Amino acid sequence: MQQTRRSQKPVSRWERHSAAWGKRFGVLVLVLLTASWSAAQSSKLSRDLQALPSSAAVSVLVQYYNPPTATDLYVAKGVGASNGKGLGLVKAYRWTMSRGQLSNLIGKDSNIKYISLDRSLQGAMNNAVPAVGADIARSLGYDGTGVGVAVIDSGVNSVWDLTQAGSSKVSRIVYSQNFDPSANTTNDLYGHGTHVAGIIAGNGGSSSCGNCNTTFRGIAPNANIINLRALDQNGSATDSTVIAAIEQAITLKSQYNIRIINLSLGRGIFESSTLDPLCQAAEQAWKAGIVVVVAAGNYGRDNSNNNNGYGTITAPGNDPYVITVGAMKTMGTPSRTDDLIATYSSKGPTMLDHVVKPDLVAPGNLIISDLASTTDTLYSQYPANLVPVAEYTTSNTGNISSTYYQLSGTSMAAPMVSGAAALLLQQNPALTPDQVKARLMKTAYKAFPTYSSYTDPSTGITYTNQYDIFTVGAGYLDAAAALGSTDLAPATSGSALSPTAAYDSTSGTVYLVNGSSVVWGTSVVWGTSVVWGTSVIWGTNTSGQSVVWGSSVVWGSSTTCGFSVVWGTSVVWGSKINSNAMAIAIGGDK
Amino acid sequence: MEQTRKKRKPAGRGERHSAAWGKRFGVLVLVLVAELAFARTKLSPELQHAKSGKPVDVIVQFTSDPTEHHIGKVTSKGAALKHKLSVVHGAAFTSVSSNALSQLAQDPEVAYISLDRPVHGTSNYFQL
Repeated sequence: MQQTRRSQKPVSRWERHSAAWGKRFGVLVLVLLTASWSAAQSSKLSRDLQALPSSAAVSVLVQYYNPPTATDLYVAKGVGASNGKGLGLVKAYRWTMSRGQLSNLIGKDSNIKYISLDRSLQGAMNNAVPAVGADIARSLGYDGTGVGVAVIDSGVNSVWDLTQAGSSKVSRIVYSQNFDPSANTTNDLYGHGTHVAGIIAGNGGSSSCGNCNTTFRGIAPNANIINLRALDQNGSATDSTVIAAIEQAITLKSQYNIRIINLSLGRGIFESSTLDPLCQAAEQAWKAGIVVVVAAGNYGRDNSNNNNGYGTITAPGNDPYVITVGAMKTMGTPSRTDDLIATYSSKGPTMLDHVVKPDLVAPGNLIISDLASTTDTLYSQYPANLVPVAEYTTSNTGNISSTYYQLSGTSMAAPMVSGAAALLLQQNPALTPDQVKARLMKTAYKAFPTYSSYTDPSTGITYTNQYDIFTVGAGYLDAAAALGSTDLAPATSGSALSPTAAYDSTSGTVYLVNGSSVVWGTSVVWGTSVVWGTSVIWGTNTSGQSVVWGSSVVWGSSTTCGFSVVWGTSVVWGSKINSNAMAIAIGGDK
Repeated sequence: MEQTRKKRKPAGRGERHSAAWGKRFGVLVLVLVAELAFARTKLSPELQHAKSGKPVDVIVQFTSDPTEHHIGKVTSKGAALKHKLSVVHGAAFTSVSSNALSQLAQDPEVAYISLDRPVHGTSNYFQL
């Protein structure tokens, strides 16, 4: 075959130059397009998936922008996905596929929003209960019977786990009232209050079937719940709504034997707790004889002021009367010896007043408890927190639970302490709030590692925590030890105020100013080293005050600005710190 | 060593009168400044920096459990009562003007005024 060549005109220097630049531009565009395609691919894959070898087959949760259609499923199957399972309302599908197939799928289906590992659930109530000694308490006959716990939250639904034992179906939610002006219901539209109530008083009825191998029982599984709905369907309220609910709890105290208020809520600190109306309301409840248990807040990862999460306790957890609770991770085991602090758990001292908080820590990470309904906001928005029934039963193992859900946060840790307080008050109804607080703090488990680290798989950021007095307070909740103790602090209100800390800029140390509190004085039973443990007290200064912090221990030698923020008098709870901390990470520590 | 003192002419009646008034004026200014500063401390930090003219929702804490008389002090300035909050000797009001806030802060029966702030559930960390 004869080939003909078209005769070409000699190429000029300018044309050659132009062609070379054209090639370069083309390569550049190609590189940019490839990089942007690659970035788009990566941004839709969770960090732990990105780290997997391409051949590894894993179970994943694929979230779609729009409800997946037959076309989406066809595309998934076309790239090799198998074992597909729809997750209903949440616009997600569970698939088994390799890492390489995932990349292929993202490239072929623009409806895909995000893909994450279908991670194993580790922190269920079945691990939290023994971790805090509540199983021992129950074997001793304490289950919170007769004690009323007011849950000021997003409402509590009448789920099976909150009924009386047996087949009567009589609810233990003995009173309900709505304070949220945006909805005329006492039901839980957000999915938070029911979860909290289940941690306090769930009896595990929905996970006690014939085929069940795990029961999700609360800490005080026969306590009564007083449902005071304040948070709206998005988990928000205002001070006045919460205060009105606190006021009602005080009013109803005698009628329903309300001995505990649980506040798994908070906001920034803007003034001293002596002026803050939310704190003042909590204090009034305390003085009326009600133990007030408050979540510490989830800002422990905040470093916006080089503060390493210190000084991030939220209100009303900054009030020195109340019991403020930080979150621990059970590490998927019932043993407490391997448990670690959750990196998001807020740390003290409190802003402006410099009160030593949290008072206690308790399990709060990846906690399985009662689901309000499959239409609540959290269930709809966070499909990765759905609980497969395989977690607790051997039947229908392909299904998603319609009775349990998983949440993380200090919101989940506070009700552990509320439940333990209910056990103590069942054992001895004469205990005052200060006596309950002092007992729980003194008997808390105090054996911690010096520090621990966690890398968030979604961001790759590593967080390191020290186990100092501002991170774990007096220690890890131990309900059995509290019930076994007979130590009684003075009954007077304010005898167990959380102490204040002060910073000595000359020596660079932080010491406790505990003179105002009766309990944490120099007594043999309630002295500082007894309550907070010798590992967090590093001797005394020349004035005889307990030194709890050396500057180099906490901040490192190069960082001093965090100190000025924590110990200064300026308010740092602007909108910046709030939004930053909220957005730091969207995943429970594992 | 001999010390010499400059002999001053005795002050006239007019001069003494003028000095006395000067002192009184100084004290008055001092009192006014102190009162203004005190009134300012009755406002929470966000309210101290609030843009003037924009009405806000607030909680007013009084020095005693509020009666109709106390509530009226706020509602007469155009605000609406949201909740009476006896537990903190206070009440929540909506649409309080910055002008009204300044006046209320100077009222001796008002202990503290703060924004009716948003509160959130503390389970912000969800596994995705």
